[in-house]
Amino acid sequence: MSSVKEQNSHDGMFAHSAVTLVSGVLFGLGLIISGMVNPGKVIGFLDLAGVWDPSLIFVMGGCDCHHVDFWLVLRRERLLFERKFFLPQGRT
Amino acid sequence: MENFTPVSALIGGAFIGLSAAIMLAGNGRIAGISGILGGAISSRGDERRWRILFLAGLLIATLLYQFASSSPITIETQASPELLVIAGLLVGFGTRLGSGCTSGHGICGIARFSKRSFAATVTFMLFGFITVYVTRHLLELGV
Repeated sequence: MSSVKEQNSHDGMFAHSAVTLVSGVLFGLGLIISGMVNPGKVIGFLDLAGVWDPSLIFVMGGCDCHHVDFWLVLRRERLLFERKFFLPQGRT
Repeated sequence: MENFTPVSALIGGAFIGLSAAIMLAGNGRIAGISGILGGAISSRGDERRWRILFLAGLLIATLLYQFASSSPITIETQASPELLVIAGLLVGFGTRLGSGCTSGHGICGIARFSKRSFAATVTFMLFGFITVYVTRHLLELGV
């Protein structure tokens, strides 16, 4: 039994697109809520000699909560709507 | 630590992390904005289509947020338009040379324990710190 459901390309495309769109919206909301769309906030983190704003560390921390998701997905090596991963093959 | 907003930073970060996890679980893709934007321009067909869809999602998020929230989206910068263009060119060039940005390397790459991403993240953070120090405190450019 295939671990990827055999769907006609139309269904697959819809699901693929839905995931992409939802992901984009979530990402955008995350950027706005965290304040990362504000250059002033990013520079506040990079400005060690000024009034330092460590918020960016906490943004990374929020992302870190999902590292376990990454690990689980990569371990399973199974995807929902694609047949393979499109991961960068770096030189290191 | 005047503008420190730990709670919204954590929540926002969780949204971003979730987005990246969904992208990986659903489509097997890395949610790296520089790669998505670059690919949206240079690729064709399906490869281009999903990238444009993702970028559209980013913009839709802005509308959603403004609809749902009473607080405005704050954008603070003292940079002139010319400086922004130069900065944008540098970021664009650098992220393509480095094959990624804060989301691609800093979030997704590190989540995958990629040595390359770890090196990239450390490097751009370091240069970010140095650049801000030089422009703000040594040269006092006021940006």
